[in-house]
Amino acid sequence: MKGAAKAELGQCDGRTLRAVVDTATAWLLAHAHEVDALNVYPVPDGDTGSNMSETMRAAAKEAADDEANAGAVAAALAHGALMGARGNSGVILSQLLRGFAHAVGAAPLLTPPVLALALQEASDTAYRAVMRPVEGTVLTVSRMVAAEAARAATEKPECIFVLDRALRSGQIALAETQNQLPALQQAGVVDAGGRGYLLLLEGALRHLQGKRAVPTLAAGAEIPPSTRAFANLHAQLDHFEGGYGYCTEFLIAASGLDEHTARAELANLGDSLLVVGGGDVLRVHIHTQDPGRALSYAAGLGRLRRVKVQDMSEQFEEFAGEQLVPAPLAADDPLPVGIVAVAPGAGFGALFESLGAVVVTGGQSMNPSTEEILAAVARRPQDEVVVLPNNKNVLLTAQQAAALSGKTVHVLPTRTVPQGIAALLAVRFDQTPTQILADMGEAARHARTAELTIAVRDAEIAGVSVHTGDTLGLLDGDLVASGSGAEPVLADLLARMPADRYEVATLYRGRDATTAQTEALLAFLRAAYPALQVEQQSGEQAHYHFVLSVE
Amino acid sequence: MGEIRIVTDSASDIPAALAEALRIVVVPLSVQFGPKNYREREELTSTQFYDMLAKNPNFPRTSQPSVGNFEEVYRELAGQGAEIISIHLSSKLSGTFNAASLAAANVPEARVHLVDTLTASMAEGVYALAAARMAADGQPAAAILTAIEALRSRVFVIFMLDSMTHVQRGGRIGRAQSMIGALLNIKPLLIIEDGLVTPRQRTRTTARALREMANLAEERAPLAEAHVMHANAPQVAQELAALLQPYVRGTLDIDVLGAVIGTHAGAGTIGFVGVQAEGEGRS
Repeated sequence: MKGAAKAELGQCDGRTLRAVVDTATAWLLAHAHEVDALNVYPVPDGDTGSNMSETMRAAAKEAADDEANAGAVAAALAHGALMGARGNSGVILSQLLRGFAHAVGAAPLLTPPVLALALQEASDTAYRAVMRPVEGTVLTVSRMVAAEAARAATEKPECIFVLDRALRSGQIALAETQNQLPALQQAGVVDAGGRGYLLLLEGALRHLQGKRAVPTLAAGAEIPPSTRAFANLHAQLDHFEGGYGYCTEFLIAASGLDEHTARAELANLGDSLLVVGGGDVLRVHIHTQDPGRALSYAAGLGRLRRVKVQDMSEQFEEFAGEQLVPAPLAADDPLPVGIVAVAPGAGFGALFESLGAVVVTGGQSMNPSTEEILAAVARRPQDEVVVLPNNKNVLLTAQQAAALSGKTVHVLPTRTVPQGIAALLAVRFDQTPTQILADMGEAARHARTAELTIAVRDAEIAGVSVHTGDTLGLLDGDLVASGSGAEPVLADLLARMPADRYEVATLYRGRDATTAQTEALLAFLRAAYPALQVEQQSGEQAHYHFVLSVE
Repeated sequence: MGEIRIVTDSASDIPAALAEALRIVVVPLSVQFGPKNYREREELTSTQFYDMLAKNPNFPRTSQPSVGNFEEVYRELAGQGAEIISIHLSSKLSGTFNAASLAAANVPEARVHLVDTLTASMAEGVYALAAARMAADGQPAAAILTAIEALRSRVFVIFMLDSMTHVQRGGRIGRAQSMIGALLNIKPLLIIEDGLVTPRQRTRTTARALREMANLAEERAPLAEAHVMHANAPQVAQELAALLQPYVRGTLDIDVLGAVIGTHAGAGTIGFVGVQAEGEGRS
């Protein structure tokens, strides 16, 4: 109460900030279903709301209740979010919090000018986390929020006032997202991440206004399952088909390194840039056509270590630095690289385990956190680990885990589970890590995945007209077909592949598929493609009745 | 100085006629189906074996020759004044080499040189055949043993199992068997390395496995000779031989895996033994 009074007067200490975050998190959680439903695809698997809620919960857990210093609370929140981030929306939220904390610094009190500055840096940091920012997403919303906060702070030095104005501006920006991204327009929704961010700000404002009561979830209610609202943003991050030639990684060691300058310079040289660390060591990951330029720039900053350059388009080749020879093998794992796979469903999990991977449960319906992926990476005996996200919404989290890990972690951007299985099957046990990674990438690129699910509402997506109850057909993660009944839709997908160019088809039965449906599809497959070797597996995945891969 | 005779075991899968022509003494391992014990080749042909494997509900077991079996052979050859080079199945896969070693120690009058090939089937056979040819040429034991050592870097074997069942039940696969992917219908490609059966790659189809084997042949080409080995899969063996043909300069033949190796590999196994041309071996 005392804190709230202070906030009305214009400032907010650590204890108040902590309480504000609790209310904001509860507010977001109470509306998580609604955010999840803001789904570009009419597939019942949106998870932006639950991912952001989970990330906030992880953030809040890290902050002590009785810390008086606002800066200390903000820093703890940022750390908690960084480790607990789930899904791409969670990763971006963690970057927002990181920027926020950085701006607050060691300030004991959050004053309106500090709040405005922090919202600005939150937005800037989130933009930087995404190498090719797309407008019409949470980024735009955060930028508009920050701009209005700065204006409001000069008009009236009260946190409530600043937040209220910022929120209103954010709501206008959010409504506008529908006109900025064609996918949102087609689906008739606003950006889910943006909505989630505003719910947090709204919850914060309600707390300061004394409206602490938050509709609680029914006892025992699970956080709803999860993912596609960020689809367009993710497409930008998805460098799988990207044109950049060399995956280049290295450490720069020198005293007083400036992360920001290095990032700004390196950003001109390529794509998928990650620069983490600071102080004495910077870890850099970049996809570039000209690794030489990146390396000579970096060599000018300090001593280069663990340089690794791999050709992504053809074979991954050794370019400079360390000699990649097979490391001594751990007794239980003959591979020179450890493999971590994200798998939805117990069936897929068991398959990955039988192929020697450590499994992190998650994917389409529940994105794993950075910390979960990090823990799995740590469980491998090898110093070099490949992570298979198997879903584009897990990609950012996996990359964040890779950047934070002390091991050399490669994220192979697999978008579907069969891509991950194909990658794992391509491993030859007697090869170098470099060759293994190249083989895995090659196999993942060649695997085709068909997914069947049921539409939950009418929509028009990428020219495909969809009615509630229709079977939807996705090819390699993109909606391309719809119709009534699984067979005609699958037939359409198979023709697009085209399936007759492949040798093996594997049908992964989902949790919601019946035996009769499965038998019917298998019979259809065998009749339509007699030359294909048809196999059935239990994927036990949610939402998708069937997943089918051809290799 | 007396002549040099080559002794091997039946796991070498050397065709009987060839062994006879080169005067190689083949000591049989044996296979048991339930209560019945059969000495490989002598009491059970490969054809009979695969027939029984398909029909007999009992899972067969194998056993190495006894020390006594080897002693008998060594004693007889020593009695003829021969010096013996005894060439055997990997000591890491079978007790055969150990039995031969004990026998050699028990027959002091025999001059026995023991060779652990650290491999099996025709890869083992290749050493015995090379040694027998040199012996027929009248080369001394030291030269033959040196040649065998030199051959090690050039001989390799790769094979595909139709299923993991037999190799797992037989326990003759070492590390990584848990990674093969028992849940998917994997056709594992295996090699024998450092004396042990080691997974090399996982494939989903026989066609793919054959292509991968041909790729290995290409990598190690030119091959002085190659032996396609199959467990009752003659048609697939023909296919593989056709794929290997471009990379082989000399002999390319098709042989059947004997009952002992067949017990551990299972029907449908297909693979080949390659010998790189001289000067091409891995260091």
